[in-house]
Amino acid sequence: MPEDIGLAHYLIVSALIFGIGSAAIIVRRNAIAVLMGIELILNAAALNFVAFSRYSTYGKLDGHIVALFVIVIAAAEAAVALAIVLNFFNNFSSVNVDDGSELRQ
Amino acid sequence: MIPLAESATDPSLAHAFERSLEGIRESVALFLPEAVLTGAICLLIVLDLLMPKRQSRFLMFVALAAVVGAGALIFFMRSTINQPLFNGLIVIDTFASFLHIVLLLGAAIVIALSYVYRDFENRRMGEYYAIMLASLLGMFLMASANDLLMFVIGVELVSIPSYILVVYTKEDRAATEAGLKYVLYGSFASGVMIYGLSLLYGLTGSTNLADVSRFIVGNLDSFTVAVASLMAFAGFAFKISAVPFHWWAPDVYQGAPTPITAFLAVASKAAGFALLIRFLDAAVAGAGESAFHWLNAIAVFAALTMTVGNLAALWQENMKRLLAYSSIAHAGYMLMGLVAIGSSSAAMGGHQVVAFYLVAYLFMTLGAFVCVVAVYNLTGVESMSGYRGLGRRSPMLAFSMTIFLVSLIGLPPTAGFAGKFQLFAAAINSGYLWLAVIGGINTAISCYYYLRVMKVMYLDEPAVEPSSPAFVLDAQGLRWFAGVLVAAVLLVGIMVDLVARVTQHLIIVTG
Repeated sequence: MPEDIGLAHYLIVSALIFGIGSAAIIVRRNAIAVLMGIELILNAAALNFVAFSRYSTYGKLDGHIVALFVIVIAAAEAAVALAIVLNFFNNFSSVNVDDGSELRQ
Repeated sequence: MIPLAESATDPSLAHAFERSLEGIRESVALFLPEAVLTGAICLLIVLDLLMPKRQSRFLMFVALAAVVGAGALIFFMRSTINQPLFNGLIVIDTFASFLHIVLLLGAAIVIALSYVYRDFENRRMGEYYAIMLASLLGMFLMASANDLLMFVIGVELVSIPSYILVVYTKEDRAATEAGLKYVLYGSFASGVMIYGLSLLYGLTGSTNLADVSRFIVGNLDSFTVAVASLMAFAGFAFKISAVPFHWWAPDVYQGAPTPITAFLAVASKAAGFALLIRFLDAAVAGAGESAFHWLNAIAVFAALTMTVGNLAALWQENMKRLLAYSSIAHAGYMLMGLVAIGSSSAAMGGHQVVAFYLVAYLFMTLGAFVCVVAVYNLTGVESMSGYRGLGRRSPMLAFSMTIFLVSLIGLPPTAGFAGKFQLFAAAINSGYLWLAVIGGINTAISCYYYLRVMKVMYLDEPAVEPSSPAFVLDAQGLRWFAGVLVAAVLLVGIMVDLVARVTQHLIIVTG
């Protein structure tokens, strides 16, 4: 492992993941793909927490612990979201978010 | 927190570990109300499995007992306490306790409303109440959060159960669509919030709110701090449905079962404001004059939120959608009160006037939803046409609805007037006259759509022939339910002094 990898590298990677996730949410119309974008954003945040914890506060584990919680929360959120998508598919025979357009004035 | 691996060898670390364990032991006693709610959640899930489906609706009484019990514990144990718990993860202060009582009141009314809601008949209801209490527990944590970790856990513990509650009538297409929109928008907003919080953590090197605020106060002009805080704000703004993060609200409010709509409109919004106030109080209140552009940003958000909410409400035909836009507008009014959060000149600070308004908002909004449920139970209609001639078909319901609408406009002698008066006073005292003027114009606009509902109820011809047996709507218990809330709206409006005196004692403690 090269010695010169520092905090900035991790931040750039996490910013990229965040950007890809946001792009997926905005561009994709498939509900599952949107959910994948959301997972990417949460992973970017978790990576940030771990990187900051490792590089800026030696000996303290706050960031690591937050990252663990973020992982658990992401799992819970994915479970509920997938159940809702499944239910949407049962009612609308589609997972395209644009098909849910009955609620409007 | 202490690295465990070294604590065995280093005596000072072992001592610190001992001390933090002692802190946890002491905190548990004060954490009893939350423990009661947690116990009730487990009990409800087990009882729901044991009970036949038809009787599961009576589990409402278990949920209600837990809410009342938690309320009594807070009232007797915590009402004068101001101290951090669990080594600073959460803080119990008078502000948190007040918000907790408000949240419990809202939850109790929503639980009772769910019991009578037509679409919930012949459904397994035990898990419904368990999920609702889980969401309530998350709101408790939001209202007393003192650590970025607690921000994350609180927001998600509120959000994830409420996604489920929105699709609880899962064969209903409208509810399904609302649930999908809610879960996608909601997790995006909370993801952005968590990313913003991670940046704040990186800047300060601590998750404790006091440390974070100390850093923010020292670097108010920093671009990075502004970006990170704005990202965090996206999460709070989603919860309180502030423009431009309000897109989900009309669809979700319309599609969700009405008791859940009421729950989201009142409890979820109150918790969102509690979290926003904690964050702003920590970040801005200590900074004084130099926080001016932060307050300006809040003022702009407030002006946008109330204007968009009120203008969009003008041409709504669905009652729940109308109330959704009205609740967006009210989020704007409350944001207007928040500009006073850093000001010492105002008689009451921003968080105090917002806390007062939340009480008024709770009663009048829940009251309006009780009337919506009553009309829906009897006619199956949620659109404006179901309210035609309600004044003759069910005089007491129409009268109650009128009082709630008058209160929502903000006319005396109702709670809405007392609350709005304080919001405007706070904004003017903090030097935001232009914002108060915009608020006044908005109140005038809002008269149109609230008065239109009254006109439909009293002046329009009923959709049913007066001679038909379906003409008279007997709302039975719901009539009295609405009546109690009418009394509450009028009482808060008349006894302004009392509520104001209580809210004046609210202080924010961080650290």
